[in-house]
Amino acid sequence: MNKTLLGILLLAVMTWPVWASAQQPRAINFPNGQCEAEFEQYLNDYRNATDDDQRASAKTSLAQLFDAKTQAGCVVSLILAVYPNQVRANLFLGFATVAEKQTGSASSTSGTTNLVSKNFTSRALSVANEYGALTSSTSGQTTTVSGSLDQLFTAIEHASKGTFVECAIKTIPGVFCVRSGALSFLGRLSYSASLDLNQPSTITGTAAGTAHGSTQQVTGTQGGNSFALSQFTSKFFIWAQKPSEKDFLNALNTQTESSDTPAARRDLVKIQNLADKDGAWQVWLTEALQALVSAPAQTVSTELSVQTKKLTTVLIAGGTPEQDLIKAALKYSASLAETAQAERAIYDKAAWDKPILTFEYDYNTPSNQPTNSTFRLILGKSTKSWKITGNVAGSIYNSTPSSSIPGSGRLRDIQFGVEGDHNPYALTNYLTATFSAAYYYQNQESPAILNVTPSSPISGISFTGLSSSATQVFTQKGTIHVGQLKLTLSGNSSSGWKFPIAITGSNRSELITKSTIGAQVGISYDFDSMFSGKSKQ
Amino acid sequence: MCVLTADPSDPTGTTFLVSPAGLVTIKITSLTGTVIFSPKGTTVTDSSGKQSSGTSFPAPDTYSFPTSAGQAYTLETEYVCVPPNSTGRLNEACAGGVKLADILSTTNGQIFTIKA
Repeated sequence: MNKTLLGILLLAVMTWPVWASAQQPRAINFPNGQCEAEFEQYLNDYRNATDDDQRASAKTSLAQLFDAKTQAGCVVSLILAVYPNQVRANLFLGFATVAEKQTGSASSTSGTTNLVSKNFTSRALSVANEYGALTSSTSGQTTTVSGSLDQLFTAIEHASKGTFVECAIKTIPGVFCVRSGALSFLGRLSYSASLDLNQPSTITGTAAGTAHGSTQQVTGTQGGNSFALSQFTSKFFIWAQKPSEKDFLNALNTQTESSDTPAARRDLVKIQNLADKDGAWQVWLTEALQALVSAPAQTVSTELSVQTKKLTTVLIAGGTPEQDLIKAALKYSASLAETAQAERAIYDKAAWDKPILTFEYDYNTPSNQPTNSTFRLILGKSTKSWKITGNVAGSIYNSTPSSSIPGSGRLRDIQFGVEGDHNPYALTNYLTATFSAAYYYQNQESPAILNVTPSSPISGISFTGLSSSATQVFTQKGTIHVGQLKLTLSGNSSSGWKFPIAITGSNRSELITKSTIGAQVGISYDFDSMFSGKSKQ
Repeated sequence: MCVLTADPSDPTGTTFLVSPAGLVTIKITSLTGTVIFSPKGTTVTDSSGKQSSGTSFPAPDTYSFPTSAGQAYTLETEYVCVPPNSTGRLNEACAGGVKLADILSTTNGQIFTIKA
C-alpha cells in the first residue's frame, strides 16, 4: 500500500513540470521578423495614440496581421507556432517524400545523366545537381561544373520545404534561416571548374597463384587519377546598375512557371471563411485585438499565445480538421520558398539587362604548359538590339619562367576583347537567326612556353631538330589579333537544335606566327528537348 | 482626387467604400527593395464573380479599375517582391490616399472588398 502511494507521488512529482507547462500558456512571438516588427509597431501606435481615430487606425493595421486575406504569412506563422510537435512530424514526412522522389527521378529529367552520376556518387552532390546548386556540361573529354554560391542555398531551400529559408520569408518557428544580405553577397560569387576526364591511367598486374606452364593469373589494379583540374574560374560581381520596375516586369513576363503560393493562400482564406460563416472568426478577431491591446507589455507574448490557440479552435470548429489546418499552413510556408526562388531569378534576369561589372580570376593548368593566372574585368551591357560584352585582362605565370628564355617574365600577356550579340531574329515561326561579332587582342609580353620531354612527344605537335636535353620550348612574343563573325540558326525553344557557322581570322596564334583564316560549322542537338514536354505530363 | 475610404463597420479593415463611383487607382509604395503587381494574379470581380473589364496597369506598381454605384467588388492583388525581402505599402494613388494594407515578404497577395 505504502509502495503504491509512493509510486503515485513519485509519478506526480516527475510529470508535474509537463502537466504544469501544459496548463500554463506558453509565450510566443511571430516567427517571422517582419510580422513581429509590424505587430510591435502597431501595438505601440495604439498605446501612444492620442485620439480615437489613431487608435482605430492602429487596431485596423493590427487586425490585418491576423487575417489570412491580408497577411497569410503572419497567420501561418502563428498557427505553426502553437503546433510544434505536429509541425515537426509533418516536416519529417515531407523530407522523406522529397528523398524518395529524388532517388526515383525520371531518366528524362534534364540533367539526370550528368557529371554527378558519372563522376561522383555522393547523394548530397546528386541532390545539389538536381536542384540546381551546380550545373555541369560536358564537351569532348572536358566536363565543366559551375554555379554561384547562393545556388547551394537555393538547392537546400528547395528541398527543405520551408525549414531552411531566407529569414524574410521564414514562417516556421525555430527553423534555420539566412539573412537576405548574406544571400545577396553569396549571389555575387560564382565559380566554374573544368575537369579533364582524359587522364592517362596505368594498370599494374600482380601475379596471383602459381604459374601453369607458360600462363599465370594476375590481379590488375588501376592507378592514376580519373580526372584532373584543367581550369578553375571564380567571378565576383562588383557593380550593376539597379533595374527599374519595368525591367522587373519584363523579366516576370518571361517566366513560364506558375507559383503554388496563390493557391495555398486561397486555401487558407477558405478555411478562415468557413470559420466565419456564422461570424465566429470576426468575433474572435474583435476579442483578440481587445485582449492584445489591453495586455501589459510584459504579457503580450503570452496573450498572443492564448489568442492564437483560440484562433485555431475557431478555425477547427469551422469544419477544418486540425491536421488539414497544419498541412495548409505548411503548404503555404513551402510555397513561399519556391516563390522567393522565382523572385530571385526575376531579379537576376532584370539585373543582367543592365550594365554589369565583374571581376574574374582564372587559374589555368593547360596541358603541357606552365600554369598561369588571369585577372579579368568584364563589363556587360544590353541595348535594345545588342548585348555587348567587353573585357580587359592580364595573365601571369604562377612561377617565374626559366631565365634562359629570352624576354620572359612573370607577366605572360595583356588581353582585350569585345563581343556584340544581336538579339535573335525570327526568320519564320520555326527558324531563328542570331548574329554575333567578336574581336580579341592579346599582347604576348612573355613568350608562350611548352613543357616537353623529347622521349615522350606532345600529342599533335612534332618538333624537328630539337635538342635532346630541351625541357621547355618557347615561341616569339608579339601581338595577336583575332576576329570572328558568327551566325547561329536554331529552331524554336522546344526544338533543341542549333547550327552555328563562323568565320575566324587571326594574324597569328600563341604558337604559330603565321596568319590564318578559317570557317567553322557545327551542329548541336539537345536530346532533353525530345522528352522535356513529356516529362511534365 | 481620392475616392476610397475605409469602411468603419468592418473590424478586419479589408472593406473600402468608393465615393463617387468611377475609376479607382491603387499604388504600391516600395519601402525596401521593389514590390510590383503580378498582372496575372491581380483582378477585380463583381458580385456575380465576373472579372471586370476596363482594368489597367498604368505602371508596374499601379492598378486601375472602374466601379459603378451600388456595386460591390472583390479586389484580389498579387505581388512580386524583388528581391524577396522587399516590403511595401498599398495605398490609393492620390495625395493622402487611404492605406489599404502593408505588403510583407510573406504576403504574396491580398483580398479586399470594394463597395461603390
